[in-house]
This record gives sequence, C-alpha cells and structure tokens, in this order.
Amino acid sequence: MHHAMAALGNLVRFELAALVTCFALTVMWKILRGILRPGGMTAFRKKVGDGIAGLLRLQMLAASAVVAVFYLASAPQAAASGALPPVPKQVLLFLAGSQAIFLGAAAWRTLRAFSILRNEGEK
Amino acid sequence: MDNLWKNVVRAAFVLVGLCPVVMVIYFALFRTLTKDYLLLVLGAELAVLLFIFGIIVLYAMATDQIKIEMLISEANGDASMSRFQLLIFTFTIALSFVYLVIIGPGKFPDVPNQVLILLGISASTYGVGKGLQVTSGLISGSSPQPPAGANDPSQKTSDAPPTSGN
Repeated sequence: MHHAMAALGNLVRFELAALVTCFALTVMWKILRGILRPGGMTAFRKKVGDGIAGLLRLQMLAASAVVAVFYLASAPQAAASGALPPVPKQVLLFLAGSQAIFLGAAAWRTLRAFSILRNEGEK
Repeated sequence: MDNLWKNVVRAAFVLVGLCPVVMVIYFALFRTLTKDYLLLVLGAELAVLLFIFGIIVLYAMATDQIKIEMLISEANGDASMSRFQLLIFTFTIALSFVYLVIIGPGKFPDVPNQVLILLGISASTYGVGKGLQVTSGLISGSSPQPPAGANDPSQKTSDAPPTSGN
C-alpha cells in the first residue's frame, strides 16, 4: 500500500509538471508563431508625440525579465528547504518602482487627454 | 479525424470512470476493502481525470478551438505590457513551484509572503492599467473594438491615442 501511494504521488507530480510545462510551451509557441502578439510593447508613439512611452514600457519589460530570471535562478538553491524562494525586499521595491513609473506615465497620459478634451469642449 | 479523437477521449473517460467500480468490486469480493484502498482508488481516479481535462484544454488551445490570441493584447488589439508582465510572473512562480514539487522533499511547498507580494504587485499593475485603459477609452469616446486583422502576424502597434500600452 505504501508503495502504491508513493507511486500515486509520483504520478501526480509528473502530471503537474507535464501540464504546466505544456501550457508554457503552448504560449511560447503561439508567441513565436505570431498568434500572440507582443511586438508593440516597446513601440514608440511618434504619432501622438509621446516617444518616452516606449522607453517606459521597455524599462518595465527589462525589470520584469530581470526579476523573473533572478527568481528562477534562486529556485534550485531553495529546493532542499521545500519552500518557494523568498524575494528580497530590495527586489520587490525595484519591481514596484518600475511598475509605478509605468503606471504613473499611463495615468499622466490619461489626465492629459482628459484636459485636452475639456479644453476643446470649452472652446 | 475529429470524430476519431472524440471517440478516443470518450473511451478514455468511460475507462477511467469504470476503473474505480471494478477495483472496489474486486477488493470487496476478493480482498479486504479498507479506507486506504478507497483513498488510493479515489486519488488515482482524480489524478487521471484532471490530467485528461488538462490535456483536452491544452489540445483545444493548441488547435485554436480555445482562442488565446488576445492573452497579451488589449481589447482594441494593441499589445499589452501589463498583461505580459503578469504572464511572465505567473509562469515564473508556477514553474518554480513545479520544480520544487519534482525536486523537493515531496511535500507541498510553502509559499512565502514575499512571493504573494510579488504576484500582488504584478496583478495590481494589470488591474490599474486596465482601469486606465477603460478610462482613456471613455475619454476618447471610442469603445474598444477588436482590430480587423486580429490574427495578422504583421500586427499594428500601440499607435492609438492614449488608450493603449497598459
């Protein structure tokens, strides 16, 4: 019975790994085929004269990639502890700052569009 | 060909459904039916059923029966940075979790608070970005419409005034 339970545990582990990995591969495959379209993420918005938006998206993309790689690299060291590796406070602050800059810029663009629209309405 | 696969899946479900019945009858008639045996059968049944469900969903995604082309796009078809970063962190944590389940000591891995905060930051960015995008759409007076060439790999980028890129 003990062996059967152990075998069942191994089966579930295999299934979990297979499903998550296949899902990740499916998404990657669709990105590579161009069905999922990440191409415009760092595009500069020359038409509206807001070229810095591309830089802000680029910095968030870079920060996300750096944090993701850092986290994945720390996973093997945490394997023995049986817990997901903790994220240092500095890394969290770095990520939060990067995303706050991105969101702040997006909010500013929204406010600017709103003020332009209001000025046109007053005219 | 589609019918063949559907029949294969149906047959798999019938077999999986019949297995516990056969096993319980076998143990009841020829061996001692204990709680441990029942738990084992139930666990195996759930594991196989969930795996088959997962495979069906993945197959449907891979063959575009379940469409995920808007997974990292806004409603108007522009690429979405906030959705993409959420996808990155979700896969990062999920793959680390799977790695620990396979390599680790064999117990359910603990999830530290910092990991929850990381996912919270990522999801909050997506939520706020979505809110800003909807607000921008309301301001510009245009409801988001899917682009005509939504499946066109030579896609457009975020050129629309301020509604996109969140």
